[in-house]
Amino acid sequence: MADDSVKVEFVEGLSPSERRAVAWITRGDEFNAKTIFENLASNSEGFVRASMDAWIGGAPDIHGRFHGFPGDKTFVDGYVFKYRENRLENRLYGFKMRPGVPDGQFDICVLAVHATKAGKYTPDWVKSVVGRLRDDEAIRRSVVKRVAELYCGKNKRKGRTRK
Amino acid sequence: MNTHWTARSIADYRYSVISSFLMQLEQKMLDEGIQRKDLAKRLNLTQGRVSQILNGKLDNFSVEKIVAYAHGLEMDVAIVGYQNESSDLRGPIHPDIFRICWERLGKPQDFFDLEELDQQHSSETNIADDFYSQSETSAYQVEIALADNVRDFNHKRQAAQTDSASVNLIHSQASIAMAA
Repeated sequence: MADDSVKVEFVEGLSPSERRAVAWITRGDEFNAKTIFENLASNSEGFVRASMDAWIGGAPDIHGRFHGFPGDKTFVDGYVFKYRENRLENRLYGFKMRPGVPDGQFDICVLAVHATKAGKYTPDWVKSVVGRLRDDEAIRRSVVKRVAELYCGKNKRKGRTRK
Repeated sequence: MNTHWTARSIADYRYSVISSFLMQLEQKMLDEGIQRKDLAKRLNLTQGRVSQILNGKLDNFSVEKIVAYAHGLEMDVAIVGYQNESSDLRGPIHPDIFRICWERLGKPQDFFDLEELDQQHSSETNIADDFYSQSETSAYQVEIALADNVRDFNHKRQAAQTDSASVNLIHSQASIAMAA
């Protein structure tokens, strides 16, 4: 069963693609990435959106903007989009998954947590929260369900047709 | 929001275009191990100013500055206009797509280079058509020709506006010959 208390929403206004998408996950006030993003100043919002578009378009990771954590066994599917605001390093953290729909090549980056970063490494609490979400089967099913609704249902998203 | 975020305003579109350009610079800096302080030194700016730009403070980032930053990394700049029917839906194409296509075409420098590419492509198409029309062609020869020609077509067809039908024709002719 999917977790009905969880809301999975695609980030609006990004380039449509049949290969990748970025979504928010919320559960009440528990996860703050979406709210923080929606209240960003225009420069920061544009910065993050441009990064998301690049990721959706298949650009390789640019460490100063967005990247995964392939070398971190505890956070291997973790993903982050970065921006700097008010002299603070801000991060939107989430995880990547391959939902299996609309096909086996589709990747989604599900963002949940905002954090400011002071040190060099990703805070352990972030890894813990994101890791729990990533490993929660009900949440994963919620993501799959949402992707299927958008990419396979009657209101199928019109992405770029793959050749 | 059904349209792309850059369709909201010229300012958003401008931001996206410059931001994507800066991603190109950041990628080059990553590839070549160039630090922000190195770029600042080359541009005779403070590291703080360069960081502000790379972190997205683009309010006063002019075309002159775009050129200066590019030259600071030994890159050139072109402002490319193009027509894309789905622009309102997907926003501007990432500049690296244009760069990679241009490099794959052999970096044509002017319209004469493009003309030569067109002629080269046209003669290759004729050779391939003659070749495949010979009924006694061996499967091995077909395989070599297919690899040579299709590889070149794949590199050139987009910018040279190759008629995709001719590529399909070669595929199908080769398949027929292979089967024979």
